[in-house]
Amino acid sequence: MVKEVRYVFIEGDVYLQMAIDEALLYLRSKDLIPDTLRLYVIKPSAITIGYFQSVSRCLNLELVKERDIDFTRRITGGGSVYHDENGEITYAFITKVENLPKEPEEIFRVITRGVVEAAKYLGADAEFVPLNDVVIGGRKFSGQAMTIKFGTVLQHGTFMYDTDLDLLSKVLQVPLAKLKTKGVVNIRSRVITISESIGRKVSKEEAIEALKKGFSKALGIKLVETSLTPLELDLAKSLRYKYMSGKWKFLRP
Amino acid sequence: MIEVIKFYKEPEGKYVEIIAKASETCIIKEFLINGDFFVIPPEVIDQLEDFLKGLRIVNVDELIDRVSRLLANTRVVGLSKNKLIELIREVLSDIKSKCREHLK
Repeated sequence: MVKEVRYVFIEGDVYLQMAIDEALLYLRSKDLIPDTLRLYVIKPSAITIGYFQSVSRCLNLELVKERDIDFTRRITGGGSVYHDENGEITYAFITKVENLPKEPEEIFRVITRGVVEAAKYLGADAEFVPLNDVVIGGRKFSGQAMTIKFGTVLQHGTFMYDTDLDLLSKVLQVPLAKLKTKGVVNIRSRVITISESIGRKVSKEEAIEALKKGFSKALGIKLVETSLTPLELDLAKSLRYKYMSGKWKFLRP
Repeated sequence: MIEVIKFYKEPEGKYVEIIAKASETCIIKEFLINGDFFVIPPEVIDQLEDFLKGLRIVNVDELIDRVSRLLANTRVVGLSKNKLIELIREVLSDIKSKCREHLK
């Protein structure tokens, strides 16, 4: 019998979205909620940075301020991400460690299959590149991040179906040493969207459907759509303030 | 104030950058380990930075021994744990040499 997994879709600001992911991680660890796959649109467009990243080194803060773009720090590691409300869907998968391989590298591989399958549904020739990227023709359209707390895994990641890559490459900064190892000189030449790769505009609805199908196939699950419970929303709302605070954003200045 | 910045990019892996500041008497004022790597549990890196802050660098080996113990049950992903410890050693050693120069 195919395992049923709860599916939730929400649009909302970056502070609430990050708070929901953290709330679900804690509640799942206490067995208060089941395994959950979330798809979300961060609206308005915003930036998230990895837990260990220095804000001033990975963001063009002047431009971020000028364009009034929200940004916050994630509880997961990894790099900075521009979440375009008109071109990117973020997913989050929350489950217990016993449901996944022991090694974090393998967890990335297993969960990220959902993204690869979703891209294939849309006609893109996507492949997973360890540690945590999914690329088309060597160019990245999806990055994953993860944390493990209290025996529970939270992996979230991006799916750039039609992101404004010119803006992305202006607001994000990547150390030259990192770009050089990828064989590129700027961010723009390192990234791609599904729309760009298949030569037609992919809609938000198509991207969401592809991700639902992709994760269902890759993880061998059947998604059952629900809403967040009052407990989840209450906890998320109380955590939201942390993500809005300057202290959290500038934890690593 | 003495400042030392060192970075490393793991081949096929993640980027790490250490920014450290110390007084001329070799007391660590700031020690930040930044990058796009993953650590499980992540708070260990915060604890490590807090542990180093305020310490006077006298014996680098001794400090590295304590750093290694702090990281013992920690999983560093996307970066070799030994390489991270080595980078911390290089930063501490650099600060120590610069303090000596200042005190001459």
